[in-house]
Amino acid sequence: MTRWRHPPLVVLPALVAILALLAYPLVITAVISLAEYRAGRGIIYDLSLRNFARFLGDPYYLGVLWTTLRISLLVTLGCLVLGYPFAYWTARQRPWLRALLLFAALAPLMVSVTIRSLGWIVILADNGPINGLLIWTGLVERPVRMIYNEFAVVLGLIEALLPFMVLSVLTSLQGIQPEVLRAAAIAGAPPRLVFLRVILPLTLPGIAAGSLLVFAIAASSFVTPRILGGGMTKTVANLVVEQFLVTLNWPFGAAIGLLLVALVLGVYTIQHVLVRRLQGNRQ
Amino acid sequence: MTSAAAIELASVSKRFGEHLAVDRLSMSVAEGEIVCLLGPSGCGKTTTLNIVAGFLDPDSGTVKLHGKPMNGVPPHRRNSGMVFQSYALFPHLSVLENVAFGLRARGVGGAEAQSRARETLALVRLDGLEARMPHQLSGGQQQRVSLARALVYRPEVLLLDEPFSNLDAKLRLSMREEVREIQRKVRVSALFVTHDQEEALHIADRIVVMNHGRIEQLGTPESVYFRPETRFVADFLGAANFAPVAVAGDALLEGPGGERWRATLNARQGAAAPARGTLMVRPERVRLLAEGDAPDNANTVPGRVLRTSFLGAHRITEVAVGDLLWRVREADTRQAARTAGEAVRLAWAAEDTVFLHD
Repeated sequence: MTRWRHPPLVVLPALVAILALLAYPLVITAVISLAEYRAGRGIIYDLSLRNFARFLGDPYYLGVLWTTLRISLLVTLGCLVLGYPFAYWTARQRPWLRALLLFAALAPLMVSVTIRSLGWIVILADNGPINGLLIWTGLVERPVRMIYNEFAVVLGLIEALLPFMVLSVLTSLQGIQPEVLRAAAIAGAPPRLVFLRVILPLTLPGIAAGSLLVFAIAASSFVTPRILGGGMTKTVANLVVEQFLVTLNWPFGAAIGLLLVALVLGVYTIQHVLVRRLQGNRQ
Repeated sequence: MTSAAAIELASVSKRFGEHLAVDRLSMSVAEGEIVCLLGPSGCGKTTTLNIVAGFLDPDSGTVKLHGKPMNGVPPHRRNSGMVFQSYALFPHLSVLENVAFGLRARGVGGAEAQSRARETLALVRLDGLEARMPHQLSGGQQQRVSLARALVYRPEVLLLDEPFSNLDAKLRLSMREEVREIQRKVRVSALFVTHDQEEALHIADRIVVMNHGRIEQLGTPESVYFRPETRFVADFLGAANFAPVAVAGDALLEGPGGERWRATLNARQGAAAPARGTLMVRPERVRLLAEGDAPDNANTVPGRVLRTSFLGAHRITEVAVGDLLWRVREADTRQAARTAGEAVRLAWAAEDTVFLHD
């Protein structure tokens, strides 16, 4: 039994920051979400759940929710498929090369996501290099539409969020004692079995953490979907921005925002239960 | 039919950059034997073990297990078991699953693997802890699991890499006895790496003393302890008194002050007169006598007591012999200690005198 102890003073600034910048706005958002917006009159505080009911009762909004969920899941899967092998390979390099590869993986974070999304437009455009190559080789006759659709959004988000997956998986890979892998090999396990029975289970927490991080950021991103989706691919985060900045219906925007938080928490719970079950729940 | 050695290394070398870790090393481990690779850190003993395990490929030379060439054969196809200094248990698997791992890797079915794993756990006296996770075990228990994991599939050879270094002194001693007992019981051929000379003397049938990637001496614990062939071996295994000498005849050495000491020299050494070398005698083979005493049949040298240390079961007396420092280990500690400054005579038998070539 660990006895409750007062947190040391050094965590105080962090505690204050979390309370002031996360908890407080969340409470405000929750209160606003229960209010009503009337055109010409503004926000009226007669608390009800009507904004949530409006969102969940409208097929259009549910469609946007489904699109967001689909994009986020695809992005998470894409990051895992691309990021895990890269992290696995990186973990096995000598230290200086590993540091270099890690830097290369994280370097994109130094460029604003807006700039990177615009970069993708140049690359994927009808008269961009990829279409140029496709037409030149005769594979297609006219440019393939690769921007302003869901494909572009998923691609852009994978590129933007890959570092989080790589970092997360790499950390858990580096936590594996090298002797443990040798012990598995000498006990008769060929490399494939060492991976399946030792490395994969031991990196499951890293996969889970990375996936959650990527999913949460993908679900709440609005710049990349806005630029690469070209307004054709609506996501929940874009709805929120629209409600707050264009329609000025803050209560409805706040309700949508909270539903997005609920979505991420829901996925987190499912993921947590899944990992516990996969690990045998014996810890 | 003559059976091949369990492990045979022939002129094995391994280089890491500029550093020659193992230098044309040849040795073997007979069936059912336990051989210790003993030496200071960096002497190449762990590299040698890793070459036998297949984690490293030798640059040259051959490795055979029971007569089968193993160069280029990956670790998982060598049918070997290994115990690591860090235990290296699978942290996500229970004790039973850890032990059953090698059986499952060999395609043994779940029920049979479990029952065999249970048997092996009983062998290392861990029955009842099958469901525990590694982090719930003490260091000694973890090392037993590691031993069971290495033995469960009846490996052709057992490799042990400093297995007791992370355990406390008392536990180390009992684990040593237990490992030797189990090794004899299951009759597995074992190669054991350690830097602890006492551990090597205790556990090994034969000891390979290594230094700078080469074998300094290879022999039974008694022979490497009592008849070391180099100053390094004499110094590394236990304590030793040294004096510079010259061979003066068939069985005669001449000390730095012209003393005549008798020694059992082999024919080669006797013939080498007047070669120079070093005399070695173990502290427990030296007796402390009063200044005037001069027994027959013993080598003697005069000295002056510097200090004495009482260590319970024995006492160490440091004596200045000319400009050399000798130590005498007395088993009878009830006798009064000598006083510092006292003039004494040190005596030892001819058969305890070892001549080392420079």
